[in-house]
Amino acid sequence: MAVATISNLTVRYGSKTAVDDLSVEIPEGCVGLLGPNGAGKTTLLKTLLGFVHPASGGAVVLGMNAATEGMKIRQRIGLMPEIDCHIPGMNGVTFVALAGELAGMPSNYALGRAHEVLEYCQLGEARYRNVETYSTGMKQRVKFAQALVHGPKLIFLDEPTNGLDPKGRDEMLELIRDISHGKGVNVIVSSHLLPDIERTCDTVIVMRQGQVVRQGSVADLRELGGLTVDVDLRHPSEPFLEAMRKRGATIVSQVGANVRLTLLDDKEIGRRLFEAAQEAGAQVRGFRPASRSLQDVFLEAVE
Amino acid sequence: MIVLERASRWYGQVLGLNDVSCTIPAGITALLGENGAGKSTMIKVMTGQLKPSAGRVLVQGELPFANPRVFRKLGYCPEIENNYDQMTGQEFVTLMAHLAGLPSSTLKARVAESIETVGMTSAAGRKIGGYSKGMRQRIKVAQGIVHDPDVLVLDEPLNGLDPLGRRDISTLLHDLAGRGKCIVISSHILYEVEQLTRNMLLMAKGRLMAQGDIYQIRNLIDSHPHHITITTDQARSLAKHLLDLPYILSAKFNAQDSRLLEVETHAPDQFYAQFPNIVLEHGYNITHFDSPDNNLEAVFKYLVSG
Amino acid sequence: MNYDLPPPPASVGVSNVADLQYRNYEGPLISRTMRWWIIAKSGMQNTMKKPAFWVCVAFCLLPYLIHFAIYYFTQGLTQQAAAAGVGAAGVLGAGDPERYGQLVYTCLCSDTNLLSIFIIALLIGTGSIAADNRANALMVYLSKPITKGDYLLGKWMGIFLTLWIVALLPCLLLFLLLMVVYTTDGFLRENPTLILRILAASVVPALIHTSLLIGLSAWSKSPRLVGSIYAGIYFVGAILARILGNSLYGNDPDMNNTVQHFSVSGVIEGMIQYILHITLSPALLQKRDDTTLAMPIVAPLAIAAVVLIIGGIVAARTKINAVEVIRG
Repeated sequence: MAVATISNLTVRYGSKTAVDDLSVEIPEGCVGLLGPNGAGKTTLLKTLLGFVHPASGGAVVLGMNAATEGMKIRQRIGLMPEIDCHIPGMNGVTFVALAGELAGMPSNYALGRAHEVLEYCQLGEARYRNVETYSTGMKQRVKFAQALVHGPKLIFLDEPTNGLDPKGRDEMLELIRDISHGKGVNVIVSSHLLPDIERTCDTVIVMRQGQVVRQGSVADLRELGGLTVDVDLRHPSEPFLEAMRKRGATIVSQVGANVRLTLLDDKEIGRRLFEAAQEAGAQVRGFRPASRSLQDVFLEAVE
Repeated sequence: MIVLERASRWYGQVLGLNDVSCTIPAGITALLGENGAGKSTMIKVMTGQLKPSAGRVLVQGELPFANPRVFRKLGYCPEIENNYDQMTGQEFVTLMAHLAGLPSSTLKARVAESIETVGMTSAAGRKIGGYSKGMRQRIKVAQGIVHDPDVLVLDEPLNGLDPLGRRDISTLLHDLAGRGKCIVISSHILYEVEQLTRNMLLMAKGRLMAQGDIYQIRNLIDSHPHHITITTDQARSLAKHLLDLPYILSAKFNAQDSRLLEVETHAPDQFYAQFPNIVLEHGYNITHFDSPDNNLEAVFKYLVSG
Repeated sequence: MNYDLPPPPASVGVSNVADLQYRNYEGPLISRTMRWWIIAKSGMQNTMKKPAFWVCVAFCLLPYLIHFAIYYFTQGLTQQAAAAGVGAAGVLGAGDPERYGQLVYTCLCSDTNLLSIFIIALLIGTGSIAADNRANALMVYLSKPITKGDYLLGKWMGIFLTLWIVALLPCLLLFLLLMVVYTTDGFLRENPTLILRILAASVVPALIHTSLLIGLSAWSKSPRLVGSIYAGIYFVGAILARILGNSLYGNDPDMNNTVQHFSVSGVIEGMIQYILHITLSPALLQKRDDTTLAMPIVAPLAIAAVVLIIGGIVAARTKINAVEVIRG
């Protein structure tokens, strides 16, 4: 069942058409929204949040009409904006509690819930400090918490790992994965970092120039099908490639010590590779059915 | 091309760099580390914005601090987002070209060339204040390369770019590296760095923790044995054979997938040499064979968390 | 329609170990009616945490306390005088219907009080929207179910209510005091509308400071800058108005007076004087001769006040309306 449906949406800013006759269904679970800058992602998000008055067409989010019930929608969804933002002059708990109250929570519920959410985001004692003293990782987590505090069924995350070091990025992606798988919250992630999307999202929507050009589950999109195998060698080895050609393989591409080849059938792939390696005096250090990286999917879709 | 000899730098009591010695050759080198590890200090002493409190830094044999001769050969793309919002992109790059000492005969051509290289020709006439994040990033790179420097230092250059932009800039950097330039990139986005280069400098707590080829370093990390996953029909039978080998530390089965076998070893070379023999001798059918932690992210995690 | 994902597998049976995992919020969500009040309340709570605020409040009370002390210590004397049959109604001049109004004016528009109110206004008003601009707080606000109007109203009310209460409460206490003491002397009879005038007069500085500061604050990212600009307008404006009045209308005391009131502080004082409906007596003016100062001509001052108030609000509204929540 779709969490949001966009039907024949056309949005114009003055004379410029940002989105033209767009129709897309946002499925449940964790959805990645990809696209080059200017593809219409921003307009799509703004529409789903109820900020935009379309020239024609419309959108339905969680059963509510985006053009007329914008306020109600914003009560049921959460947004984690891309840029650094917080309400100044207060500590973490007060900030998140205020966010909850603004969303409509009664004040006695808001504070308790703020604590719960901050606990979930692993902000311990730091929650009693002024938000301005937080590190980048903590600021991102507080932003995440204020989006979650009022129990939305759908949250939008705009570049959630912006500015985070690898450890911080890991933790944030874990949080996103956890909240969307098992805690019952639908998530839409907009990001340029494709491995982040691969790690957290089940489906992706790729946009280009105001249109959706690819949509599907990550697994489906990445599947290359056929009998293509990626092989990691210890060192690049021409004899190995020869040995494989003799066994009926076609070499698709080679980058350093990594080779992609297509086989005629899938019987005993491992044995054939190892035999060829022994023959050629090379060493196979890994092989797996080839899949496209999400980056390849993206580049293919938008070029 | 860049040499640090026991360089240290402190800010009052706070330690930025602590006794760092290294040589950065031509080609692309990645500067990695958590926030607060000393990367920005390292960049600042390399680009001549700060003088080391102890030791010294040499860029192509000269001290970079307040040294115009070095600045002519050095390009720097900082992380800052606030630029000269009132200028157009063209004016900005021209200004930086003047500052870099380009002779006026070649200046206009070089400016146009570098703007084109980063793909900003159509937008160069607009004010920077109206640029998106990605465009600002590109114009920054343009000003960094306009004077064709031998050394290029970039701080988070791919931030804010969509994958197309990333690919373009990465290609550019590969080109420059191929022409013998020394490029230092500081970035948090490890998978990108991995695609650019295998050479890294890892900072932690102000000290240089590791330097060199990522995969060589991986082999040196004893405390974290290599994990290797194998998918086969007879996982348990294969495991029995593998457990006979002395350098296999453990074999783990997966509750969800009975075909999956994960082994740990601290002698990967020996394993990779002997494993094919075992497979061929007993005729096991292997469909997957991989080492999931043989990448930069894992190396980084192991090094930083100890 | 139910848009929930299937719930995670529930634990079987009753367990001694509580499940402290994250749970979704299923509680009530009230609709939008008084959303601005949350913002106003938050602002006022922040204000009350600042020690400087309470110091200024103490200074506001000072003129009232001084007059109360004067009354208290001289009461003994007047009672004796009354007993001895000598007239006079305490401290205040006998028979002057304006005397109560003038007392209120003395306290409310005393330099200390007005200045303290101005400083409180600076304290809470400069950072109101400027700090939010710097921290991009509007992003957070607008992603919730409130409008930009709610936001502006909330900010405005937070400052307005604080300033009004600070101006009003001491006045009310003074009124109660006068009522207790002078009812027998005809206090309520003489000046039946005084309480209403007090309410209206205390609103004036609150209205003007709030609107102007909101207007300035919305256009800046630095509270300090806003503070310096407003302080400049306030003080330099007052000086310039005085100079202008004297130079342009040296011979026409009424016009002179009016022009001299053409600054922020002047408008405030002038409007309060008009609302309290008094002329400034020689005692108030600290002059030895018989000069009284009539009220300045009201119309231009009233127009100026309205312009300032509306101008400030419109300026703020324009700037806030331009903010976009998601940028491309």
